[in-house]
Amino acid sequence: MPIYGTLALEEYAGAAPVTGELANEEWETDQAEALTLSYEIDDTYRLEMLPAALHPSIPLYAQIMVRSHGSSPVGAFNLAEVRLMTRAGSHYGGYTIGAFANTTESVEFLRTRYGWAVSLGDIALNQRHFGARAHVEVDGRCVLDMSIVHPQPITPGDFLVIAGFHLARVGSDLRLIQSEPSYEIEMIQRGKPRLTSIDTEAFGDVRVRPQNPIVATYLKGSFKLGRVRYLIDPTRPATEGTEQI
Amino acid sequence: MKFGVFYEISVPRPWDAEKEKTVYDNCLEQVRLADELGFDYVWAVEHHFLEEYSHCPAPEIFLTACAMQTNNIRVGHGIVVCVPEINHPVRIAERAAVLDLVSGGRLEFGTGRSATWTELGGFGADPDVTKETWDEIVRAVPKMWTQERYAHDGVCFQMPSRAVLPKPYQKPHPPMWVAVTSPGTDVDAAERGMGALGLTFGNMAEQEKKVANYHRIIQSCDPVGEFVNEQVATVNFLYCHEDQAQGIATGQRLAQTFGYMAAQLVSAREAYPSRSYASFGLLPQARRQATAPGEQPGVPEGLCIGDPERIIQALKGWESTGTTGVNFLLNVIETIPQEEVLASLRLFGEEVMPQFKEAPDANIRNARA
Repeated sequence: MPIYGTLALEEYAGAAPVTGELANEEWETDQAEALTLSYEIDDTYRLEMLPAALHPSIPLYAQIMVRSHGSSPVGAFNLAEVRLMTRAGSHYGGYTIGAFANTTESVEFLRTRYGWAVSLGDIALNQRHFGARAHVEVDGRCVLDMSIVHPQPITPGDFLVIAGFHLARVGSDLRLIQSEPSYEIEMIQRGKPRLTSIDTEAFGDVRVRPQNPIVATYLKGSFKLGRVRYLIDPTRPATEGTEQI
Repeated sequence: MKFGVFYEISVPRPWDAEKEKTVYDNCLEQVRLADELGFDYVWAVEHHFLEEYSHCPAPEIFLTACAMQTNNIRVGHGIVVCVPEINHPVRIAERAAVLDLVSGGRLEFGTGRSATWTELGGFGADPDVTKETWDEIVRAVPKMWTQERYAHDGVCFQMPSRAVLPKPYQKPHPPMWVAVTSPGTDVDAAERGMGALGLTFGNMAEQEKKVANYHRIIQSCDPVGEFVNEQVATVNFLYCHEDQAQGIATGQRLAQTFGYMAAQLVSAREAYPSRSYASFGLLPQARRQATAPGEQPGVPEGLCIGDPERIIQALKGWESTGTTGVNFLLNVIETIPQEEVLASLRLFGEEVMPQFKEAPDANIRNARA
């Protein structure tokens, strides 16, 4: 059967976001943009980077995403995230390594309502003539700079939206919280990814080393984040340890 | 209705030489029995890098072993990957011809283009163009087989005039098929006069529509080969047991394990947004039915699991859709002990197969007729 993650949870438990009341209703913005780069990564630590509930995809790859939200329950904000693409049972999902948001309100909102491991950073996402570019700084230091090269339009139906898994403390327990994003895409482009700079240690795990570029996408449209419906015990297979809220 | 056995050759971790050999030996033993029981086909996939799910990168070698150990069963590429970065078109033609020769003219030539980023990315192939390259190659290969010399100046490959040797044993050439996983590929098959080798677990209502459409379109096809191979096969699981409950339980375990394994791979659709891959390929049915992380993959309808009577009814259902053949997956990562697999196969051969008299082979016709 598939191999399971062996992440040393106790080392991450202290830094895991502490949730309050989990999001019990969806919210939506009609002004969202997202630049996403996918890279296969060095698979030396493909098991050590994932909790036991998750399987590494074959091959293991990462999505590096910057998304702007024109509005939200806590106002407009930008989010930058690095996640590993995994499987929970036969479901696929992105396991968040770390993320930044650019307002204190959004950091608090995402950490407490979704268990998102978000810290404060300066995040810019700009559409240029030759393609979108994202830049993230923390304390004046660049932790991410990326862009899409030679963007070409594709159809929205070609794009697959993948759920997220956030390791967080829910009450006294560590849990993976499933987040469920969706888009109504108005415009989407596909191109080659250009990752000029990334500090994966700043994102939470220096072992995430992007190697083989896959694709870059840039989209505009409305974005919706669903209510939290599922919690997964990170220490057990998802087929055994999933709880519906 | 024709019956086949279908091999992914999945090997459970931890891998060692003995385990890999045992799985291959088990498959060969099953093929020998299938031949004795009167099965029509043994199909073997070509997959690369698909950990546990499929350790079958060289199907022509496995199929050669099958041919050497059997008398009648036809050996099928199910499929050979027609992507130049993975197989040069000339090597495809050459290897297939040799397999046809050493098997005494028993080759079924299945073609396809891979459905995973795991494979396409591993070979540096561009997912956007695999349909076009497949089309170019399936038009070229029969000419390599039938023309004394062949030259090609195409988009995906070029070659000066050469004698591509040897030529196949079957004349004018082996029957040609295409793997059908993405929507529309059944139409591609019909337009080219090729058999449709279904490799996903669709439902019967969808299958009936597709088959009717296939038979309609193929009447006015422009064959890529020298003859039309009008056949529609589908894939299914097989676990046949005297006790219905035990047969269903074991069969469901087989289907769920397969779905679980397939889900670990990175489909082209997942990693690389492209119109070229509109579906997940390997697992659409199971993915549709799984809605929560804790849920197991769904069990498709019309599975050939249970007691002989139940399986007969399932096959009658598939037969009523116009499907001309069913190919069975017998095991997944050795989930079922070999003796039970063989017993299931024997029971199927004794109780189920006689209920499906094979009609004269009217499904192959000369392209010039």
